[in-house]
Amino acid sequence: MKIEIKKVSKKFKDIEVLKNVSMTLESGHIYGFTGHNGSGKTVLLKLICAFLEPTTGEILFDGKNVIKENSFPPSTRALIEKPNFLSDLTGYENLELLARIQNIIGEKEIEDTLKKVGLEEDKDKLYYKYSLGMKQKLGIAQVLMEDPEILILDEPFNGLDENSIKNIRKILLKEKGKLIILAIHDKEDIKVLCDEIYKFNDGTVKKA
Amino acid sequence: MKKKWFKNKPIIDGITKTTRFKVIFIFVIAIAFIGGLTNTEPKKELFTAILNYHSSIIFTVGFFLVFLLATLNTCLEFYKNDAYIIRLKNKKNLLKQLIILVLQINGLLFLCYAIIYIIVLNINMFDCYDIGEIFQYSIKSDIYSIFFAVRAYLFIMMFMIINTILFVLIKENKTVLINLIYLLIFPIYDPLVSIHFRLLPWDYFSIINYGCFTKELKYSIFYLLVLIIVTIILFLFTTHKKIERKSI
Repeated sequence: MKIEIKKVSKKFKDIEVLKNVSMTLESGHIYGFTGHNGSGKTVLLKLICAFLEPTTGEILFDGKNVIKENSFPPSTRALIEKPNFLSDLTGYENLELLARIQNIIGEKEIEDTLKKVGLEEDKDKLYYKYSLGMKQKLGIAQVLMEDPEILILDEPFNGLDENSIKNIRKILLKEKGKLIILAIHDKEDIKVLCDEIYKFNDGTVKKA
Repeated sequence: MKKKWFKNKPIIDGITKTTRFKVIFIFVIAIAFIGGLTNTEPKKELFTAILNYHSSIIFTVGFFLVFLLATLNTCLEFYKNDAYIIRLKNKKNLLKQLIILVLQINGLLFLCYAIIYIIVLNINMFDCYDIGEIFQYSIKSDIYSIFFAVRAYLFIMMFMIINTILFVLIKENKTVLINLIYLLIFPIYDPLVSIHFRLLPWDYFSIINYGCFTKELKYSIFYLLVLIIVTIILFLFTTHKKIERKSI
């Protein structure tokens, strides 16, 4: 899988949040997007997911412009900003609800993913009773469970304790054959996980 | 289809638990209670009382606004769920899913309203079950009331489908603006009333004498067809146009 971002700009009213951004992202790499808050990382992630439309430029998935086709990118799962689930369902039921949309996985894969992220004991707890860290783990689980080719994670380590961070790092490193994009701040996370880093600064992006 | 319809139950549960929905629901109950308790029908005719209350322009505009708010709330809540949306593959599926959800939530509100209203009215007008005639239509008011309720339901749902598409196409602020313009300008300037084709939804909630029931039925079907055509055109336009998912 290859994502080509070609001269992409994004304006909200008069404010240009992304300025002429170009990059090529390919499977087999973990890309790190770093930069201060408001530098445009999340906006670019939303553009890649086709949740937003670029003001100028284009984003191609294996040469295909999905935004032009009014589609969402193929085999892509994302956790952008904070996880959003239904509060009166359990962790398991929330994942089941999402899994039923495409029906490509069953009970076993959901259970396995919950175990992988360390939520097996809390899977039957209602979501509103989850701690911040548990919510984050469930958000990561929904990204992983259907074995997508592209994983997009915006600040995935928010609210996680040290052991959970180590566990999620391990999981992400095992998924390295895929195309993974992480928006992260922590220098150690960047060092351990990312093999290519893009620095965002007021809408401009430079490869570090 | 049945399976697909019930698949949304957890999402509906989630939306109905939001504070905004609860406020809308309280409004619906209030409208039902006011209607059931304030009966201006001097005769002992329950069905005429139902028609009188639902013909009031204040009721109709209020009722329309409640459903508009419920529709916008459903759209806003649904759009928060990135993980759900990205799995829908394309924006046509997104729009279809959203329309089904809006129909379910609004249908639920309509049903709750009807049940509460009928219960309160029956308690208030106990023993007032005389059935009169409507105009010179040669049909009884009970039959006409059923026609009136079905028409109101269909028209409200069609308007809410149109508003859902507008939400996806132009976002909520502009949708509200269009609705306000539509609701405020036409009472002042409604040129087609002179030829008896009424553009406003509340013209179909009012009791207007068309001369005979068949004529009223024909105009209602024609208006419904116009709404269906507008919906299809908007749906096709929206699913072929590049639409940007609102960032919340």
